[in-house]
Amino acid sequence: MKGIVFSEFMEMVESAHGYDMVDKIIIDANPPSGGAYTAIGTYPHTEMVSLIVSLSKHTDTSVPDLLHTFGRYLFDTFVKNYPAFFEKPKTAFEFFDSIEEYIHVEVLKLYPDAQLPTFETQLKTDKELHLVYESERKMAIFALGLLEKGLEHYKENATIEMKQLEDDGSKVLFIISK
Amino acid sequence: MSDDSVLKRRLDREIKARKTAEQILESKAIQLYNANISLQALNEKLEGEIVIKSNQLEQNELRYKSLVDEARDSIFNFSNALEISYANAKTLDIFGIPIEELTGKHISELVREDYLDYATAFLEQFRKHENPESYVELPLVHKVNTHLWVGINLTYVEDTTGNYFSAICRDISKRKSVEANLEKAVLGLERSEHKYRGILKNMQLGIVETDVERRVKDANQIFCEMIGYSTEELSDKIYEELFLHEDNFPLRDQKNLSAGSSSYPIYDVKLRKKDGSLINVLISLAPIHNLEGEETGTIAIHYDITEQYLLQKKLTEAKDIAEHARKAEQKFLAVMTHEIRTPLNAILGMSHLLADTELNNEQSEYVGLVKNAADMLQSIVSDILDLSKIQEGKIDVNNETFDLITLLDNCLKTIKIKSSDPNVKIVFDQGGFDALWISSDKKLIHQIVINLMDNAMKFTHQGQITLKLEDKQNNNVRLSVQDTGIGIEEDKLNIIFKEFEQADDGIHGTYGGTGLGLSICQKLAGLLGSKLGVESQMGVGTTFSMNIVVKPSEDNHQIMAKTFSAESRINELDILIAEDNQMNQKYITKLLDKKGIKYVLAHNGVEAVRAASTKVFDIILMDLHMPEMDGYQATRSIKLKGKNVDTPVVALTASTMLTQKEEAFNAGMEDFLSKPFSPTQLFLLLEKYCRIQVNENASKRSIESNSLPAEIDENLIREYLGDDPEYQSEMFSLFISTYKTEKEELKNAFESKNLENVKSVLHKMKPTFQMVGLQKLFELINKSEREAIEGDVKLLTKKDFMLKSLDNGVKLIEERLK
Repeated sequence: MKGIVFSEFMEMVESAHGYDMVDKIIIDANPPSGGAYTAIGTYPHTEMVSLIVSLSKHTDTSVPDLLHTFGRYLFDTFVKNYPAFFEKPKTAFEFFDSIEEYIHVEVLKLYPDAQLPTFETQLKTDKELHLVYESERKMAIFALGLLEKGLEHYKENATIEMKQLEDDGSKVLFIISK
Repeated sequence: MSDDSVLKRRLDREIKARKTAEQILESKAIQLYNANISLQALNEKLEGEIVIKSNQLEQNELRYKSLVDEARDSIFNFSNALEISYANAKTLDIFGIPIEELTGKHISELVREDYLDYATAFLEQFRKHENPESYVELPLVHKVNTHLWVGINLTYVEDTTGNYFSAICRDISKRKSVEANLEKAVLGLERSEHKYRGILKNMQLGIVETDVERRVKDANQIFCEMIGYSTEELSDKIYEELFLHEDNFPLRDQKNLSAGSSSYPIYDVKLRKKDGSLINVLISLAPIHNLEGEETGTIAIHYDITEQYLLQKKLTEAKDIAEHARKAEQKFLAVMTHEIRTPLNAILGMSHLLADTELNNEQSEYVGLVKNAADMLQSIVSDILDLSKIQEGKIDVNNETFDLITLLDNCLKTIKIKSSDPNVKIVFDQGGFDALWISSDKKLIHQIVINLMDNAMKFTHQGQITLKLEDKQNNNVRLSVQDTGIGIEEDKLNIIFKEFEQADDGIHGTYGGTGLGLSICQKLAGLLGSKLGVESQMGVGTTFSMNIVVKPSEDNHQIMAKTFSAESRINELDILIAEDNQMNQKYITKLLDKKGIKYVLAHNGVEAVRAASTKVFDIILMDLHMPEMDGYQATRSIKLKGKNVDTPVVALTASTMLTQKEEAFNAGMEDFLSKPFSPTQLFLLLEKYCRIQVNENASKRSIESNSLPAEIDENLIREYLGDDPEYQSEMFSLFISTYKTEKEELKNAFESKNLENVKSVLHKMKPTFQMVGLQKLFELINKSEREAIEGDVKLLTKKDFMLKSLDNGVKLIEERLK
C-alpha cells in the first residue's frame, strides 16, 4: 500500500486526536516498519489494518466508520495534491467514470508496484451510475467515503446505495442516483 | 517525560521516514538516470533507423521515378490551373514536345481545339468528383501527326503537397484510325446498300426468299405488286404451287444447284398472278447459305418482261414475215436467173458456133451484134446476182494456190476476144515475173480483173489499157489496170464505188451499164483482204489498183517445179457430159471436138449414172436440172460406188445461187461452172482437174523459165544449103552479120513496146533461121510473130528470153563456122 495513505492516515489521526494517539496506535500495532511512513514509500497493507484496528480500540470507534472517515479525508488530500485529475471531468459521474480508465492508469505509470482496486462504471441513465468496486482489501467503506466527497466536490446531490456482490466484501456494487 | 519520549519517538520516526524517503528518492534518481541513458540509446538507435528508412524511401522514390520515366505510357501531372507540372520521358514520344518545354504548358495548348471545351469540362467534373469516369480519349495537337489520339486515365491526387491531376496517357491513334475507317466502311456499306436498294427499286425487281422447302419466307413490295398478292398471303406458301404456270420448266430442280457454282441460271417463265392472268418474268436464282455453308434456301430475283415479251413476239412475227419475203425474193431471183440464163446461154453458145461457120460480112456483123448484146445482158444479170450475193454475205472465199500470171493471161484472152476497138491496145506488163504463185480465190481475182478491164474498155477510145504487176516488196504485188480513157473528176472519185452510181449521170446514156461493176470489184477486193484504189486525171486516164500478197519466192519455185512436171495428155482425156439441153450439148461437144478431147454424152441423170458405171472418166460435167434424175441425185449415185467414186464432178448450171452451190457440194460435186461459160473457162477447169495444159501459153511457159536450148538440124542445112562447106560458111557468115543488125532492131522494137515492129523484124528474121538449121528457133520466131499479129502484149515481156535464145543459136553457128 502506498506510503501516502499511511502518511495521510497519520496526519488525520494527529489532527483529530493529537500525536499521542498516533504514538499510541503505532506502539499498539507495532508495525514492522516502526511507523516511520514516507509518502513515497510502500508498506504492507496489514500494517494499515492493524493501525486502524488499534485506532478503533483507542477511540472506541468502529473500523468501518474509521475507514469511511478516512476515505472522506483522503479525497481532500487527493484534490490538493493532484488537482490535474479533477480538472477535466465536469461532473461527478464523469469523474467516477475516469477513475479506472484515467487516474489508475496514471497512478500505475508513477508506481508500477501499486495494487489498486478496480472501479468499473456503467451509466444506466443520465441520473444513475453503477459502479462495481472490487479489491482483495475489502475496503468498500473507504471507497464510499471517497465517492461521497466526489459528489460534494462537484456539488452534486445523489444517493449512494451499496450492494454486496460478494459476501466477503471483495466486490461491491454502488448505485449512485441523482 | 512521556511527552518527551513521544516526541523522541516521533522524531525518530520522522528521521527514519526521511531516510527511507531519501533512499527511495536516490534509487528513483538512479532509476531515472538509467532510464535516461537507455532512452538516449533508444533515441540514437531510432535516429539511425530513421536515416536507413529515409535512404530506403529515397531509393524507392528513385526506383518509382525511373519506373514512371521509363513507362511505356506517358505519365504526367498537371495542376488545378491545368498546367503541366511533371511529365515522364515517354511523353515526348507521344506529344512530340521536349519535356522541358512541356512543363508549364497549359492543357489548352495540347488538346485539339474542337475538343478543348469537352476536355476542360471533363477535368473540372473529375476534380469535383462529379464524374464517375476516370478515362477520357482526346485528339492532340501534334507537329507532324495530325490524327494523334490519346487515351488518358486520370487520378486526382490530394495530399499535403497540394492537389493535382495525374494522368497516364497512351497513344491510341491506330485504334482510332481503325475505328474511323470502320466507321467509314460501315457508312460506305450503308450508302452502297442504300444505292443498291435504290437501284433494285428503280429496276422494279421483285425479290422473293424461300427456304429449302420452297416456302416463301419473304417477298418485297415490288414482287407483291407484280404478282397481286400481299406479303401475308404469300407467307409460307410453296412457291411453285402458287405462281408457276404448268408450261414452265419446274423450278424445283433448282434445289440441285451446286453450292460452289459461281453463275446461276436465269429462267424465262410465265407466272400466274392472283387474278389468274399470266406475266412473263426473268428469274435469277441463287442459293442462300448459312455460316456453316449449308444451303438454307433460295433467293429469286424477278424482272417483269411481259411488255418486252409482247414486243418480242410482235418482232418475231414481223421478222418471220420479212424472212418469208426475203426467201420469196431469193427464190424469185433464182428462178428469174435460171429463166433468163438458160435462153441467154443458148444465144451466146449458138452465136459462138454461128460465128465459126462460113458467114458473109453482113452475117458476121449481125452475129457479132447478137453476141455483144447477149454478153451485155449476161454481165448485167451476173452483176446483179453478184451484188446480191455479196450483200447477203454469201460469197465464200475459196483460197487455193495458183499462178497469177496464168490467171491474168486468161483474163487478157477473154478481154481481147471482147475488145473490138483497133485504137485501143491491150498490154500486159508482167513486171519481170515469169510466174507468180499466190494463195487466193482465183474466181474472185478473175472477176475483179475482168470487171476492171471491161470498165477500162468502156471508157477508153484511144491509147492503151495496161494490166500491170509491180513488185512492192515484202511479198506484195500491186495489180493495176491503167487506161488512157476519159478519166474521172476528182470529186466523183468517192461515188464511183457506190452501187448504181456512175461518175456522171450522162454516162449511163452514153456508155450504158448498171453502175454495179466497180462496187462489186471493191467489195470483192475487200473479201480478199485488199482494197481497191483509184487515181484519175480528166482526159488523161484512170488507174485502178489493189495489192496482192504473194507466197515467198522459195515457195514459188517449189510449186512451179511440181506443177510443170505434169505431162500433157490432152488426147488421153475422157469426159462424161450430162446435159439435157440440146444447144448446150452442141456447144460443149463442139469445143471439145476442136481440141480433140474424147467425151461421152448423157442426156439425163439416169444415162449419166449408167455411163459412169461402164468406165473411169477423167472428169464429169453435170447439169443440175435434168429430166428423170437431176444432177444432184446422179452425182450422189456416182460418188456412192462404182468406177467413178473419185472422179471430179463439176456442176453446170445457169443458176449462181449459193444455195444451189451448197447443195451441189453436199451432193459431192467438186466445182461449179456457171452457164454460159466461155471456152477459156471450160479449159481452165479441165486444166485444174485433169492436170493437162490445154492452151498454148501455158505449154510455152514450161520452156520459158530459161532460154531455149540451141541445136542445129544438119538435115535442114543440107536441104537448104547443099553439101558445099564453103557455101555453107559464106551463108553462115552472112547470117551472123545480118542477125546482128536484126537483133538491134528487135531489141528496139521490144523496148519501144511496138508490137508492129516486133512482128515485122521477126517476119524478116524467120526464114534465115530455118535455112541454117535452127529449127526450134524458127518455130519460136514463127509463134512469136503470130502472137505479135494477134497483138498479144505478153510477147513484149519475153524480150530477154527471145534475145538470149536467139543468141544461143547464133553462137552455135559461130562455133560451127570456126
